[in-house]
Amino acid sequence: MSLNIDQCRACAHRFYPSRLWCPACGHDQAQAVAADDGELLAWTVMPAKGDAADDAGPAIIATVRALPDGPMLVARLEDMPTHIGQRLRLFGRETQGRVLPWAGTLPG
Amino acid sequence: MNVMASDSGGPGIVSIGETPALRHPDASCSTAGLMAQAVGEALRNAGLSPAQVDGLGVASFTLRPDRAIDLAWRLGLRLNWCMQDEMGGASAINLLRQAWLALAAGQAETIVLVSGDHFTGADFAGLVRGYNRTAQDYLSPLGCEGPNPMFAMLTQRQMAATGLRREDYGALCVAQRQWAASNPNAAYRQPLTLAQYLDAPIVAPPLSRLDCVPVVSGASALVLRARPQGVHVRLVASGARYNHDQQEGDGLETGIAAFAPVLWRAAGMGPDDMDVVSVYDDYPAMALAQLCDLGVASAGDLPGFIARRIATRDLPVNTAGGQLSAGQAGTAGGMHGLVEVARQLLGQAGGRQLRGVRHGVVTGYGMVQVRYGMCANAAVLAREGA
Repeated sequence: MSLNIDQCRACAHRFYPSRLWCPACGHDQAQAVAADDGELLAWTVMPAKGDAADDAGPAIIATVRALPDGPMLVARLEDMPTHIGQRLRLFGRETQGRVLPWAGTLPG
Repeated sequence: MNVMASDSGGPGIVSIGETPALRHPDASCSTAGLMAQAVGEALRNAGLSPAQVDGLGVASFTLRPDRAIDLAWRLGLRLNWCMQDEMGGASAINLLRQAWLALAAGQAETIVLVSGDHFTGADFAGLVRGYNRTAQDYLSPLGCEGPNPMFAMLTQRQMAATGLRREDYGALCVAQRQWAASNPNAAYRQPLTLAQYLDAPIVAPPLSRLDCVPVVSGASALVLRARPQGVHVRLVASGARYNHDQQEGDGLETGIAAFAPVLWRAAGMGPDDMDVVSVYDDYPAMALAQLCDLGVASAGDLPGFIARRIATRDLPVNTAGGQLSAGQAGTAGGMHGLVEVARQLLGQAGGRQLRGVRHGVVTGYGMVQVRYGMCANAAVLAREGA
Protein backbone atom coordinates (compact mmCIF):
# COMPACT_ATOMS: atom_id res chain seq x y z
CA MET A 1 0.00 0.00 0.00
CA SER A 2 1.13 3.55 -0.50
CA LEU A 3 2.45 5.63 2.38
CA ASN A 4 0.18 8.53 3.20
CA ILE A 5 1.48 11.72 4.75
CA ASP A 6 -0.34 14.94 5.70
CA GLN A 7 -0.48 17.97 3.41
CA CYS A 8 -1.88 21.22 4.79
CA ARG A 9 -4.97 22.38 2.85
CA ALA A 10 -3.94 26.02 3.34
CA CYS A 11 -0.18 26.22 2.78
CA ALA A 12 0.58 22.75 1.28
CA HIS A 13 3.25 22.05 3.90
CA ARG A 14 3.87 18.29 4.15
CA PHE A 15 4.45 16.56 7.47
CA TYR A 16 4.57 13.16 9.15
CA PRO A 17 3.46 11.95 11.61
CA SER A 18 0.22 13.92 12.03
CA ARG A 19 0.19 17.02 14.25
CA LEU A 20 -2.60 18.85 16.01
CA TRP A 21 -2.57 21.46 13.22
CA CYS A 22 -0.17 22.48 10.48
CA PRO A 23 3.22 23.16 12.10
CA ALA A 24 4.03 25.72 9.41
CA CYS A 25 0.87 27.88 9.33
CA GLY A 26 -1.49 26.62 12.06
CA HIS A 27 -4.33 25.67 9.69
CA ASP A 28 -6.30 22.75 11.13
CA GLN A 29 -7.20 20.82 7.96
CA ALA A 30 -4.85 18.48 6.18
CA GLN A 31 -5.36 15.96 3.42
CA ALA A 32 -3.65 12.61 3.04
CA VAL A 33 -1.31 12.46 0.06
CA ALA A 34 0.92 9.62 -1.09
CA ALA A 35 4.69 9.81 -0.66
CA ASP A 36 6.27 7.41 -3.15
CA ASP A 37 9.86 8.50 -3.66
CA GLY A 38 12.62 9.18 -1.23
CA GLU A 39 16.30 9.99 -0.83
CA LEU A 40 18.38 8.16 1.79
CA LEU A 41 20.05 10.52 4.26
CA ALA A 42 21.37 8.02 6.83
CA TRP A 43 20.86 4.48 8.06
CA THR A 44 21.74 2.11 10.86
CA VAL A 45 20.91 -1.43 11.92
CA MET A 46 19.21 -2.43 15.15
CA PRO A 47 19.99 -5.97 16.30
CA ALA A 48 17.36 -8.70 16.29
CA LYS A 49 15.27 -8.59 19.43
CA GLY A 50 15.18 -12.32 19.98
CA ASP A 51 11.44 -12.44 20.66
CA ALA A 52 8.82 -14.07 18.48
CA ALA A 53 7.56 -10.80 16.92
CA ASP A 54 6.71 -10.61 13.22
CA ASP A 55 9.90 -8.77 12.41
CA ALA A 56 12.35 -10.42 14.75
CA GLY A 57 15.37 -10.02 12.43
CA PRO A 58 17.74 -7.05 12.48
CA ALA A 59 15.90 -3.82 11.65
CA ILE A 60 17.47 -1.50 9.07
CA ILE A 61 16.39 2.00 10.13
CA ALA A 62 16.78 5.01 7.83
CA THR A 63 16.32 8.76 7.72
CA VAL A 64 14.62 9.54 4.43
CA ARG A 65 13.70 12.76 2.68
CA ALA A 66 10.47 12.25 0.77
CA LEU A 67 10.80 13.67 -2.74
CA PRO A 68 10.16 16.22 -4.06
CA ASP A 69 8.71 18.25 -1.15
CA GLY A 70 9.44 16.34 2.04
CA PRO A 71 8.86 15.59 4.80
CA MET A 72 11.79 13.96 6.56
CA LEU A 73 10.83 10.48 7.70
CA VAL A 74 12.22 7.71 9.81
CA ALA A 75 11.51 4.55 7.82
CA ARG A 76 12.34 0.86 7.96
CA LEU A 77 14.27 -0.49 4.96
CA GLU A 78 13.55 -3.93 3.51
CA ASP A 79 17.07 -4.31 2.13
CA MET A 80 20.54 -2.98 2.95
CA PRO A 81 21.41 0.31 1.22
CA THR A 82 24.81 1.06 -0.23
CA HIS A 83 25.28 4.83 -0.01
CA ILE A 84 23.95 8.13 1.31
CA GLY A 85 21.84 9.77 -1.38
CA GLN A 86 20.49 6.45 -2.68
CA ARG A 87 17.00 6.66 -4.19
CA LEU A 88 14.25 4.79 -2.34
CA ARG A 89 10.70 3.67 -3.08
CA LEU A 90 8.49 4.48 -0.07
CA PHE A 91 5.48 2.41 0.94
CA GLY A 92 3.28 1.75 3.95
CA ARG A 93 3.36 -1.65 5.61
CA GLU A 94 1.34 -2.89 8.53
CA THR A 95 3.82 -3.29 11.37
CA GLN A 96 2.71 -4.32 14.85
CA GLY A 97 -0.85 -3.37 13.99
CA ARG A 98 -0.06 0.05 12.47
CA VAL A 99 0.68 1.22 8.93
CA LEU A 100 4.19 2.64 9.16
CA PRO A 101 6.78 3.98 6.66
CA TRP A 102 8.94 1.40 4.89
CA ALA A 103 11.21 1.76 1.89
CA GLY A 104 13.07 -0.36 -0.62
CA THR A 105 16.28 0.63 -2.36
CA LEU A 106 16.39 1.54 -6.05
CA PRO A 107 19.48 1.30 -8.24
CA GLY A 108 21.47 4.54 -8.46
CA MET B 1 17.19 39.61 22.92
CA ASN B 2 16.10 36.20 24.14
CA VAL B 3 19.01 35.55 26.47
CA MET B 4 19.31 36.19 30.21
CA ALA B 5 22.17 38.22 31.57
CA SER B 6 22.99 39.28 35.12
CA ASP B 7 25.55 41.46 36.87
CA SER B 8 27.60 40.69 39.95
CA GLY B 9 25.96 41.39 43.29
CA GLY B 10 22.98 39.20 42.43
CA PRO B 11 22.16 35.55 43.15
CA GLY B 12 24.82 32.85 43.20
CA ILE B 13 25.41 29.11 43.30
CA VAL B 14 27.00 28.50 46.69
CA SER B 15 27.44 24.72 46.79
CA ILE B 16 26.92 21.42 45.02
CA GLY B 17 26.24 17.81 45.96
CA GLU B 18 26.36 14.61 43.94
CA THR B 19 25.95 10.92 44.72
CA PRO B 20 28.16 8.23 43.24
CA ALA B 21 26.84 7.00 39.89
CA LEU B 22 25.64 3.49 40.70
CA ARG B 23 25.80 0.92 37.92
CA HIS B 24 24.34 -1.84 40.10
CA PRO B 25 22.49 -0.21 43.00
CA ASP B 26 21.27 -2.46 45.79
CA ALA B 27 17.61 -3.23 46.42
CA SER B 28 17.21 -0.42 48.97
CA CYS B 29 18.08 2.27 46.40
CA SER B 30 15.33 4.74 45.49
CA THR B 31 15.09 7.94 43.44
CA ALA B 32 13.97 10.00 46.44
CA GLY B 33 16.69 8.48 48.63
CA LEU B 34 19.38 9.41 46.09
CA MET B 35 17.97 12.93 45.84
CA ALA B 36 17.99 13.31 49.62
CA GLN B 37 21.64 12.23 49.64
CA ALA B 38 22.61 14.83 47.02
CA VAL B 39 20.55 17.62 48.65
CA GLY B 40 21.98 16.76 52.08
CA GLU B 41 25.53 16.95 50.79
CA ALA B 42 24.89 20.25 49.00
CA LEU B 43 23.33 21.79 52.15
CA ARG B 44 26.20 20.55 54.35
CA ASN B 45 28.70 22.03 51.89
CA ALA B 46 26.87 25.36 52.15
CA GLY B 47 26.62 25.21 55.95
CA LEU B 48 22.82 25.38 55.68
CA SER B 49 20.03 23.42 57.33
CA PRO B 50 16.86 22.24 55.56
CA ALA B 51 14.91 24.87 57.54
CA GLN B 52 16.76 27.61 55.65
CA VAL B 53 15.62 26.34 52.22
CA ASP B 54 12.58 28.14 50.80
CA GLY B 55 12.75 27.02 47.16
CA LEU B 56 12.96 23.60 45.47
CA GLY B 57 13.32 22.69 41.80
CA VAL B 58 13.18 19.02 40.82
CA ALA B 59 13.95 17.09 37.63
CA SER B 60 13.28 13.35 37.44
CA PHE B 61 11.70 10.65 35.28
CA THR B 62 11.40 8.08 38.07
CA LEU B 63 10.20 10.03 41.10
CA ARG B 64 6.62 9.11 40.15
CA PRO B 65 4.06 8.78 41.57
CA ASP B 66 5.62 11.51 43.75
CA ARG B 67 6.16 15.00 42.41
CA ALA B 68 8.34 17.91 43.52
CA ILE B 69 5.96 18.87 46.30
CA ASP B 70 5.86 15.31 47.64
CA LEU B 71 9.65 15.31 47.74
CA ALA B 72 9.50 18.63 49.61
CA TRP B 73 7.22 17.03 52.20
CA ARG B 74 9.45 13.98 52.55
CA LEU B 75 12.45 16.30 53.06
CA GLY B 76 10.52 18.51 55.49
CA LEU B 77 10.96 21.63 53.36
CA ARG B 78 8.54 24.55 53.80
CA LEU B 79 8.71 26.51 50.56
CA ASN B 80 7.85 29.78 48.89
CA TRP B 81 8.88 28.48 45.45
CA CYS B 82 8.55 24.96 43.99
CA MET B 83 8.99 23.77 40.43
CA GLN B 84 9.32 20.57 38.45
CA ASP B 85 10.87 19.94 35.05
CA GLU B 86 10.89 16.81 32.94
CA MET B 87 12.90 18.00 29.95
CA GLY B 88 15.67 15.43 30.34
CA GLY B 89 19.10 16.72 29.43
CA ALA B 90 17.82 20.29 29.24
CA SER B 91 16.10 20.28 32.63
CA ALA B 92 19.04 21.41 34.78
CA ILE B 93 19.78 24.64 32.93
CA ASN B 94 16.05 25.17 32.51
CA LEU B 95 15.62 25.03 36.29
CA LEU B 96 18.72 27.18 36.81
CA ARG B 97 17.27 29.92 34.61
CA GLN B 98 13.94 29.87 36.45
CA ALA B 99 15.57 29.76 39.87
CA TRP B 100 17.73 32.74 38.95
CA LEU B 101 14.69 34.81 38.00
CA ALA B 102 12.91 33.78 41.20
CA LEU B 103 15.85 34.76 43.40
CA ALA B 104 16.35 38.05 41.58
CA ALA B 105 12.63 38.80 41.90
CA GLY B 106 12.55 38.08 45.62
CA GLN B 107 10.32 35.01 45.34
CA ALA B 108 12.80 32.95 47.37
CA GLU B 109 16.05 33.34 49.33
CA THR B 110 17.60 29.88 49.15
CA ILE B 111 16.74 27.46 46.36
CA VAL B 112 17.86 23.85 46.05
CA LEU B 113 17.84 22.31 42.57
CA VAL B 114 18.01 18.54 42.44
CA SER B 115 17.82 15.96 39.68
CA GLY B 116 17.97 12.23 40.09
CA ASP B 117 16.84 8.93 38.72
CA HIS B 118 17.02 5.29 39.71
CA PHE B 119 16.45 2.64 37.08
CA THR B 120 16.14 -1.06 36.93
CA GLY B 121 16.71 -2.59 33.48
CA ALA B 122 12.97 -2.97 32.90
CA ASP B 123 12.29 0.64 33.99
CA PHE B 124 14.77 1.93 31.46
CA ALA B 125 13.46 -0.20 28.59
CA GLY B 126 9.93 0.97 29.38
CA LEU B 127 11.02 4.62 29.56
CA VAL B 128 12.66 4.62 26.14
CA ARG B 129 10.00 2.52 24.40
CA GLY B 130 7.22 4.85 25.54
CA TYR B 131 9.36 8.03 25.82
CA ASN B 132 6.68 10.09 24.09
CA ARG B 133 3.73 9.46 21.77
CA THR B 134 5.93 9.35 18.67
CA ALA B 135 8.21 6.72 20.23
CA GLN B 136 5.25 4.72 21.48
CA ASP B 137 3.10 4.78 18.33
CA TYR B 138 5.61 5.10 15.48
CA LEU B 139 9.30 4.59 16.19
CA SER B 140 9.28 1.70 18.66
CA PRO B 141 6.80 -0.40 16.63
CA LEU B 142 8.98 0.24 13.57
CA GLY B 143 11.95 -1.34 15.37
CA CYS B 144 13.62 2.02 16.04
CA GLU B 145 13.72 1.77 19.80
CA GLY B 146 15.46 4.23 22.11
CA PRO B 147 17.95 6.93 21.25
CA ASN B 148 20.75 4.74 19.84
CA PRO B 149 19.43 4.42 16.25
CA MET B 150 18.72 8.16 16.06
CA PHE B 151 22.20 9.13 17.16
CA ALA B 152 23.79 6.38 15.07
CA MET B 153 22.29 8.06 11.99
CA LEU B 154 23.36 11.53 13.16
CA THR B 155 26.87 10.20 13.77
CA GLN B 156 26.99 8.62 10.30
CA ARG B 157 26.02 11.96 8.78
CA GLN B 158 28.49 13.90 10.94
CA MET B 159 31.27 11.54 9.80
CA ALA B 160 30.30 12.10 6.16
CA ALA B 161 30.08 15.89 6.62
CA THR B 162 33.25 16.49 8.67
CA GLY B 163 35.65 13.62 7.93
CA LEU B 164 35.54 12.42 11.55
CA ARG B 165 36.61 8.78 11.92
CA ARG B 166 35.85 6.34 14.71
CA GLU B 167 39.41 6.96 15.98
CA ASP B 168 38.52 10.63 16.53
CA TYR B 169 35.41 9.86 18.56
CA GLY B 170 37.55 7.32 20.40
CA ALA B 171 40.12 10.00 21.28
CA LEU B 172 37.32 12.08 22.87
CA CYS B 173 36.08 9.06 24.86
CA VAL B 174 39.63 8.21 26.00
CA ALA B 175 40.16 11.84 27.15
CA GLN B 176 36.93 11.85 29.13
CA ARG B 177 37.85 8.54 30.75
CA GLN B 178 41.15 10.09 31.85
CA TRP B 179 39.20 12.85 33.60
CA ALA B 180 36.89 10.25 35.18
CA ALA B 181 39.88 8.58 36.82
CA SER B 182 39.99 11.59 39.19
CA ASN B 183 36.23 11.54 39.87
CA PRO B 184 35.46 9.12 42.72
CA ASN B 185 31.74 9.27 41.80
CA ALA B 186 32.24 8.11 38.18
CA ALA B 187 30.87 4.72 37.15
CA TYR B 188 33.92 3.96 34.97
CA ARG B 189 37.32 5.13 36.15
CA GLN B 190 39.79 2.57 34.80
CA PRO B 191 41.91 3.81 31.87
CA LEU B 192 40.46 3.28 28.39
CA THR B 193 42.74 2.74 25.41
CA LEU B 194 41.93 3.61 21.83
CA ALA B 195 42.30 -0.08 20.96
CA GLN B 196 39.68 -1.00 23.57
CA TYR B 197 37.38 1.67 22.18
CA LEU B 198 37.78 0.37 18.62
CA ASP B 199 37.21 -3.24 19.75
CA ALA B 200 33.98 -2.50 21.64
CA PRO B 201 30.91 -4.31 20.31
CA ILE B 202 28.83 -2.38 17.78
CA VAL B 203 25.32 -1.63 19.03
CA ALA B 204 23.97 0.37 16.07
CA PRO B 205 26.57 1.11 13.39
CA PRO B 206 28.63 3.27 13.54
CA LEU B 207 28.02 3.43 17.32
CA SER B 208 29.68 0.98 19.65
CA ARG B 209 28.86 0.34 23.27
CA LEU B 210 31.48 2.92 24.31
CA ASP B 211 29.74 5.66 22.30
CA CYS B 212 26.65 5.14 24.46
CA VAL B 213 26.26 6.41 28.01
CA PRO B 214 26.10 3.78 30.73
CA VAL B 215 22.73 3.91 32.49
CA VAL B 216 23.26 4.54 36.21
CA SER B 217 21.29 5.56 39.26
CA GLY B 218 22.29 8.80 40.93
CA ALA B 219 21.42 12.37 41.84
CA SER B 220 22.95 15.85 41.61
CA ALA B 221 22.10 19.03 43.49
CA LEU B 222 22.93 22.74 43.62
CA VAL B 223 22.20 25.37 46.28
CA LEU B 224 21.52 28.92 45.11
CA ARG B 225 21.11 31.98 47.32
CA ALA B 226 19.72 35.42 46.59
CA ARG B 227 22.51 37.13 48.54
CA PRO B 228 25.49 34.77 48.59
CA GLN B 229 28.44 35.39 50.91
CA GLY B 230 32.03 34.51 50.00
CA VAL B 231 32.99 32.42 46.99
CA HIS B 232 30.08 31.66 44.72
CA VAL B 233 29.21 31.15 41.07
CA ARG B 234 27.25 33.70 39.07
CA LEU B 235 25.07 33.01 36.08
CA VAL B 236 26.54 35.53 33.65
CA ALA B 237 24.25 34.77 30.72
CA SER B 238 22.13 31.95 29.37
CA GLY B 239 20.03 31.07 26.36
CA ALA B 240 17.62 28.31 25.36
CA ARG B 241 15.71 27.05 22.33
CA TYR B 242 12.82 24.59 22.28
CA ASN B 243 11.65 22.90 19.07
CA HIS B 244 13.69 25.49 17.20
CA ASP B 245 13.51 23.77 13.81
CA GLN B 246 10.36 21.63 14.13
CA GLN B 247 12.51 18.46 13.65
CA GLU B 248 12.73 19.41 9.97
CA GLY B 249 16.39 20.45 10.06
CA ASP B 250 19.75 18.83 10.01
CA GLY B 251 19.95 17.60 13.61
CA LEU B 252 23.71 18.10 13.64
CA GLU B 253 23.17 21.73 14.60
CA THR B 254 21.35 22.20 17.91
CA GLY B 255 19.32 25.21 19.02
CA ILE B 256 22.49 26.48 20.74
CA ALA B 257 23.80 27.72 17.38
CA ALA B 258 20.77 30.00 17.10
CA PHE B 259 21.51 31.91 20.31
CA ALA B 260 25.29 31.53 20.78
CA PRO B 261 26.32 34.87 19.21
CA VAL B 262 23.82 36.75 21.39
CA LEU B 263 24.82 34.68 24.44
CA TRP B 264 28.48 35.67 24.11
CA ARG B 265 27.58 39.30 23.48
CA ALA B 266 25.39 39.35 26.61
CA ALA B 267 28.15 37.66 28.61
CA GLY B 268 30.73 40.19 27.46
CA MET B 269 33.02 37.24 26.80
CA GLY B 270 33.76 34.76 24.06
CA PRO B 271 34.46 31.03 23.77
CA ASP B 272 38.20 31.67 24.18
CA ASP B 273 37.60 33.14 27.65
CA MET B 274 36.25 29.85 29.00
CA ASP B 275 38.54 28.02 31.43
CA VAL B 276 36.28 24.95 31.72
CA VAL B 277 33.55 23.54 29.50
CA SER B 278 30.80 20.95 30.01
CA VAL B 279 28.82 19.87 26.97
CA TYR B 280 25.95 17.41 27.11
CA ASP B 281 27.57 14.18 25.94
CA ASP B 282 24.78 11.70 25.39
CA TYR B 283 26.89 10.65 22.39
CA PRO B 284 30.33 11.88 21.23
CA ALA B 285 28.81 13.30 18.04
CA MET B 286 26.46 15.53 20.04
CA ALA B 287 29.25 16.72 22.35
CA LEU B 288 31.15 17.82 19.24
CA ALA B 289 28.03 19.36 17.66
CA GLN B 290 27.49 21.51 20.77
CA LEU B 291 31.16 22.57 20.88
CA CYS B 292 30.72 23.75 17.28
CA ASP B 293 27.42 25.48 18.05
CA LEU B 294 29.02 27.37 20.96
CA GLY B 295 31.85 28.50 18.69
CA VAL B 296 34.41 26.62 20.79
CA ALA B 297 35.26 24.32 17.85
CA SER B 298 34.93 24.62 14.10
CA ALA B 299 33.21 21.98 11.99
CA GLY B 300 35.96 22.53 9.43
CA ASP B 301 38.60 20.72 11.50
CA LEU B 302 37.05 18.58 14.22
CA PRO B 303 39.69 15.81 14.07
CA GLY B 304 42.40 18.44 14.60
CA PHE B 305 40.39 20.08 17.40
CA ILE B 306 40.07 16.78 19.27
CA ALA B 307 43.75 15.96 18.85
CA ARG B 308 45.12 19.41 19.70
CA ARG B 309 42.73 20.63 22.39
CA ILE B 310 40.66 17.84 23.95
CA ALA B 311 43.13 14.95 24.02
CA THR B 312 45.88 17.25 25.37
CA ARG B 313 43.57 18.88 27.98
CA ASP B 314 44.49 22.25 26.47
CA LEU B 315 40.72 22.83 26.71
CA PRO B 316 39.24 21.09 29.77
CA VAL B 317 35.97 19.54 28.52
CA ASN B 318 33.72 17.35 30.68
CA THR B 319 36.24 17.19 33.50
CA ALA B 320 34.23 14.78 35.69
CA GLY B 321 34.32 12.24 32.85
CA GLY B 322 31.05 13.33 31.32
CA GLN B 323 28.13 11.01 31.04
CA LEU B 324 30.15 8.74 28.76
CA SER B 325 32.38 7.73 31.68
CA ALA B 326 30.64 8.97 34.82
CA GLY B 327 27.28 7.57 33.67
CA GLN B 328 23.85 8.96 32.83
CA ALA B 329 21.48 8.97 35.78
CA GLY B 330 18.41 9.87 33.72
CA THR B 331 17.60 13.56 34.13
CA ALA B 332 20.54 13.88 36.54
CA GLY B 333 22.71 13.45 33.45
CA GLY B 334 21.58 16.95 32.56
CA MET B 335 22.82 18.33 35.88
CA HIS B 336 26.11 16.43 35.88
CA GLY B 337 27.89 18.97 33.66
CA LEU B 338 26.42 21.98 35.46
CA VAL B 339 27.48 20.60 38.84
CA GLU B 340 30.99 19.94 37.53
CA VAL B 341 31.54 23.45 36.16
CA ALA B 342 30.15 24.94 39.39
CA ARG B 343 32.42 22.59 41.39
CA GLN B 344 35.47 23.70 39.40
CA LEU B 345 34.58 27.38 39.77
CA LEU B 346 33.99 26.94 43.53
CA GLY B 347 37.41 25.26 43.76
CA GLN B 348 36.03 21.97 45.11
CA ALA B 349 37.04 19.52 42.38
CA GLY B 350 39.66 17.67 44.43
CA GLY B 351 42.22 15.75 42.39
CA ARG B 352 40.96 17.17 39.10
CA GLN B 353 40.73 20.81 40.25
CA LEU B 354 41.89 23.17 37.51
CA ARG B 355 44.05 26.13 38.51
CA GLY B 356 42.89 29.70 38.22
CA VAL B 357 39.48 28.94 36.71
CA ARG B 358 37.26 32.03 36.51
CA HIS B 359 34.78 31.31 33.72
CA GLY B 360 32.97 28.28 32.39
CA VAL B 361 30.20 27.32 30.00
CA VAL B 362 27.69 24.47 30.29
CA THR B 363 25.20 23.13 27.78
CA GLY B 364 22.07 21.03 28.06
CA TYR B 365 20.43 19.06 25.28
CA GLY B 366 17.67 16.53 25.09
CA MET B 367 14.15 15.27 24.53
CA VAL B 368 14.35 13.33 21.29
CA GLN B 369 11.14 13.69 19.31
CA VAL B 370 11.00 12.07 15.91
CA ARG B 371 14.65 12.52 14.85
CA TYR B 372 16.78 14.32 17.47
CA GLY B 373 16.69 16.43 20.62
CA MET B 374 14.22 19.32 20.70
CA CYS B 375 15.67 21.21 23.66
CA ALA B 376 19.04 22.94 23.91
CA ASN B 377 20.34 25.51 26.35
CA ALA B 378 23.58 26.93 27.67
CA ALA B 379 24.81 28.92 30.65
CA VAL B 380 27.96 31.02 31.03
CA LEU B 381 29.12 30.98 34.65
CA ALA B 382 31.75 32.98 36.56
CA ARG B 383 33.48 32.63 39.91
CA GLU B 384 32.78 35.55 42.21
CA GLY B 385 34.20 36.61 45.56
CA ALA B 386 37.56 35.84 47.14
